[in-house]
Amino acid sequence: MLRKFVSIISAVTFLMCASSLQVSAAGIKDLNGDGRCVISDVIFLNRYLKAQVDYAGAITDLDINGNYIIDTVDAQVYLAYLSGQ
Amino acid sequence: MNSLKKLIALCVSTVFLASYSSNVCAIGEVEDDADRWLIYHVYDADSTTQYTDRTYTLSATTSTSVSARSVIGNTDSRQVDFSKSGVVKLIYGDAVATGFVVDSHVIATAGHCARNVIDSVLLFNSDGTVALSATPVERHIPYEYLNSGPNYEYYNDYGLITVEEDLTDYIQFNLGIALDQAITNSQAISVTGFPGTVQNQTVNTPSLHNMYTGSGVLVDSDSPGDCSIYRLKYNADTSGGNSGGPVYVTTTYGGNTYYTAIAIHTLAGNSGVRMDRDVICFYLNNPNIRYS
Repeated sequence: MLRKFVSIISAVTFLMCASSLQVSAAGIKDLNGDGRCVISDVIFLNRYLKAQVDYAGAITDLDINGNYIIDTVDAQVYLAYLSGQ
Repeated sequence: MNSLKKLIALCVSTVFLASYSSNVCAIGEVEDDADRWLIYHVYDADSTTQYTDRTYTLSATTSTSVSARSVIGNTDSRQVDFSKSGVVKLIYGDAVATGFVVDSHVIATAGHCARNVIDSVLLFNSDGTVALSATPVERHIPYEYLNSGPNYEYYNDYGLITVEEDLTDYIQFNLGIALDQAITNSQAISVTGFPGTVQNQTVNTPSLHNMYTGSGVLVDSDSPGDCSIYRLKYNADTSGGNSGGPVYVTTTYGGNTYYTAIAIHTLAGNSGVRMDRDVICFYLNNPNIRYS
C-alpha cells in the first residue's frame, strides 16, 4: 500500500517537474493546447495579437521575452527559440 | 499509520492544487470585460452623415485585466522626427491631430479626433515633405464616446479612419498589450505626433508640418482617469495636436526594429487609451471596415 502511494507521489512529482521544465525553458509554453511547443504556437500567438483567437491561460504566458509587453516580438522570440537561434 | 498516510495525501493534494491554481491566476489574468460599451457608429469621412444601418457591436471574447499605482517623474525630450512614416497628420478646419497606420487601409486615432469631419490625411517622407494626401472614406467611433457616457473621455476615446489608398509602404504600428508590470517597471515609451506648439513655438498648423517624438516612461497613478485597465499614464511631453498619436514601445530584435503601440494618446496630462483585446479587435479584426 505504502509502495503504491510512494509510486503515485513520484509519478505526480515527475509530471509536475516535466511540465515546469517545459514552461521554464526560455519562457516557452504550449499556447494552443496541443501539448507541444511548435510552430503552430507561434501562429496561435500571432492570431491572438490580432484578436482572432482567445487564450484561456494566464496572459503572462504570452510574454515570451519577459518585457511585460505582449506583442509581435514575443512571437519572433518564440520562433527563434524553435529554430534554435 | 493510516492517519499519517491520509495526512500526507492531503498535503500532497493541497500542494498540487495550490501550484495549479497559481499557474492559472497570475497577474494579468484573462477575464470577461463587462464594463466597456462595444457599440460603434460609422460616419462618412467627408460629412457628418452617419450610416445608421452600419451601427455594429464588436468585442473580443476575452479581455485583459490590469490595475494602478504611484507617480514617477517628468522629462521633455521632444525632437523633430519624420522617421515614423506611419504617423499620420489629420487636419480638420484649423485644427490638427494625429493618427497612426495599423493596417493597410486603417488609421487609428482618438475618438475626439475621429468624430470630426476630416479635411486632410497626410503622410510624410523622412525629409518632412508630404508623401501622400490620403482619401478618407469612413470614421468609426464608439457609441459611448459619442454619447458622453460614464468616463467616456477616459475609456472610450478611440476611433478609426479608413482611407482608399493602400498604406503598406508606410510603417505599420503593431498593437500590443502592456501588463501591469510594465508600469511598475517604468517601461520606456515614445509618443510621436504633430503637436501644435513646442516650447511656446507654433510648430504645426494645417499648412505647417512638423512631426515630433517625445520620450519618457510609463508612470503610476491612483487616478483611474490616468491609469487603469483602460488607461495608461506616461511622462513624455505632449501638447494639443498629439491627440490620437501612438504611445509605443520600440524593440530591436534579430536586426529588426518593432514599434508596438500600447496606447493612444488622448489627454493633456499625458495619458491615453490603453490597448486591450477589445480595442485591438476593433482595429485588426473588424469585419465592418470599408475603405472603398
